[in-house]
Amino acid sequence: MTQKINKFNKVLIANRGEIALRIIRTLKEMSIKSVAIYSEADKFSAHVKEADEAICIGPGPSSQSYLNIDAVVAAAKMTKADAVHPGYGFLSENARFAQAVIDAGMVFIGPRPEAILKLGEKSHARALAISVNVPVIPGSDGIVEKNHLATAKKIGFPIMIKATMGGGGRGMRPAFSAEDFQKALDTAQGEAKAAFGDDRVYFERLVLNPRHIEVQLAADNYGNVIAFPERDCSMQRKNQKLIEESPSPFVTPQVRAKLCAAAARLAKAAKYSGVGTVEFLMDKDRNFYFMEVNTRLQVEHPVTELVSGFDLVKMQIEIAQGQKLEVNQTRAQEILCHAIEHRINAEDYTKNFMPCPGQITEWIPAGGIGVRIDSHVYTGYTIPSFYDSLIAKLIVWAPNREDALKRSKRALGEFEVKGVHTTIPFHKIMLNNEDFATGKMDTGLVERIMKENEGKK
Amino acid sequence: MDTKTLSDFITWSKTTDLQEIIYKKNGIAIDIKTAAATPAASDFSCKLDIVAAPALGIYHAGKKGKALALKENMPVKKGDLLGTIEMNKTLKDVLATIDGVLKVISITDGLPTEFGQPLFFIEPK
Repeated sequence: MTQKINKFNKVLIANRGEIALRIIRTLKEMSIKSVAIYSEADKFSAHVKEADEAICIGPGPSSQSYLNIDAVVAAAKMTKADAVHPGYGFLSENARFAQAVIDAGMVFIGPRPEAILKLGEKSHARALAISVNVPVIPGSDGIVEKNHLATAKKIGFPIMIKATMGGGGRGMRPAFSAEDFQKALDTAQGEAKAAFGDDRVYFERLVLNPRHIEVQLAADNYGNVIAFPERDCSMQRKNQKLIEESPSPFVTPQVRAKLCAAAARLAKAAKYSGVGTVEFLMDKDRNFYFMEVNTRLQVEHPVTELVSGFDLVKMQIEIAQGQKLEVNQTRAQEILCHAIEHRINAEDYTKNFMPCPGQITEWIPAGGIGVRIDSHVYTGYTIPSFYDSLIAKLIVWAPNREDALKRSKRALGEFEVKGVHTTIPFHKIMLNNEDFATGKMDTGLVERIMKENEGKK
Repeated sequence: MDTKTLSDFITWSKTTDLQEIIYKKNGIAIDIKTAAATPAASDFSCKLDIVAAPALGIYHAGKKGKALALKENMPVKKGDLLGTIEMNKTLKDVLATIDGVLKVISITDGLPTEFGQPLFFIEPK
C-alpha cells in the first residue's frame, strides 16, 4: 500500500503536567505548533508556558475540564489544530473521544476507535488473545452474570475478580477461597459501579507472586508492527507502578523473542495502529499470560526510548501522519543499555502514600550523565489537589543494570524537593533492598519492603 | 494644537518605543504617556460584577436562532439570558449574575471565548 501522508501543522495536547510537556518538546523538534489546554487549577503549569498557544477549558475538577469531551474538541476546533494527542490517562483510551475528534475533522493521534473498543474491553481483548494463540490466564472467558461462586470454583481458587471496565487497580479484588468470595465480589462490584458506572465483572485464576512484564509496540497504518524489549514493572503498590525498568533482569533472550512475537500477533489481529503496550503476568517458570492492552502512550515509555534509542512520541505522530514505520523488528529488539524509571510522587510514604498537594519551595532536580528528568514543576509551583500526584519521572540509563542502579542512587541523592513530601526517600529504600538489587522482584515486593521498613521504625 | 495634529502625533508616538513624550510650543504643552509606561494591574478590582464565560466555545447573542437585543446601559435581572456558548455539541447559557445595569459588553456574537473570560460587566442596582 502506498503511503498517504498528511503532515500536521498544529497539534492540541489533551492532557496536562509532565506528559503534556513531554509531547510539546517533541512537537517543537518536529516544527509542529502546539496547543496546551488547561484547567483553572493548572494556570501556572509549565506545559502552559511551553506551548505555542494555551487555552483554558474549564474549572479544576477533571470531569469539567480534561475529561470533558466537548470542551476538548471545541478547544481543538477553535485553535484550528489538525490533530489531537491524548497523552495517557484522562481521555486517552476513550473511543468516544477518539471518534469525536475524527468527526470534527481532525486526526486522533492513537489507534482507530474500533481498535480502542476491541482492546479496551478486557473480555474482548482476552478473546482476541486466545484467537491468535497468545497465552491467557485460565478464567471465566467473559462477563459472569450469574452462578458467580460456581464459576469461581470451576476456575479454581485463588481467583482475581476484575471489573470489565476496570483500570489502575480499581474494581479488582482477590478471593483466596470460597469463604471470602462473596465479600470480594461485593467490593469489586461496588468500586466498579462507583468508578466506571458499570459493575460487570469477570474472573481469572490468580498467579501467585507474578512479575509484571509488558511489551511496548508500534504499528503503522499499513499493517507493520514492531515490538520493543520488555519492561519489568513488578515494583508496584496497589497496582500503581513505582519503578519500571528495561530489559527485565529475569527475561531470557528466548523468552523475549516469544513475548515480542505474542504482542505483535495481538496488535496485528486487532488491526492496531499507533503505539501501545501489551501487559503480561509472568510466573516463576517464565510462563507469561496476557493481561491487557493499553491503547496509548504509557507513563514509563521513556525507559524504552532509552533502551532502544527512539523517540516514541515522534514515532506515534509520524504514524498518525500516515508514515510507514522505518524500523524493522531486528532493530526494535536491540538493547542499547539498561534503563530504570523512578516515579517521583508528591506523597508521604510514611502515611500510606497519602497525596501531599502544596507549594514546592525548592526544586533541585538531579542531572549529569545518564539522567533524564521529565517534569512540569519548578520552584514555587503549587501542586493542585485535583489530579494525580506524579511530579517527576527520574530515568537513568547505563550500560548494565548494576551501573544503572548505582546511577539511580547517585541521582536520587542529588534530587532535592522542599515544601512537600515526595517518594524520593522510599525510592532510596527500595534501591537498598537485596531482592530488588539482585533482580528478584515480584508484584508483592513493594508491600514486603513497606512492612520491613515499618518494623525498623 | 488642532485635533488633527494631535491625532497624528499620537499615531506617530505609537510607532516608537518611547514611554513618555513631552511636547512644548508657544505656551502649549502636552505630555503623552504610552501604554508601556503605565502598566495595567492584572488583578484589578471594580465595582462591576463580572459575567464570566461558563464554558469555552463560540458565543451567540441569542438562543435557538432567536437573537437577543443586548445594549449597554440596559437594565438586567439576575438569571436573565445574555447569550449561549456553543461548546462543540453542547450549549451553555450565559446568565446575568445580579440585578443591575449592563454596563459593558465585551464579547461579540460569533466570537470564540475561553472558559472564565469576562463577557459582561454589570453595575449592581
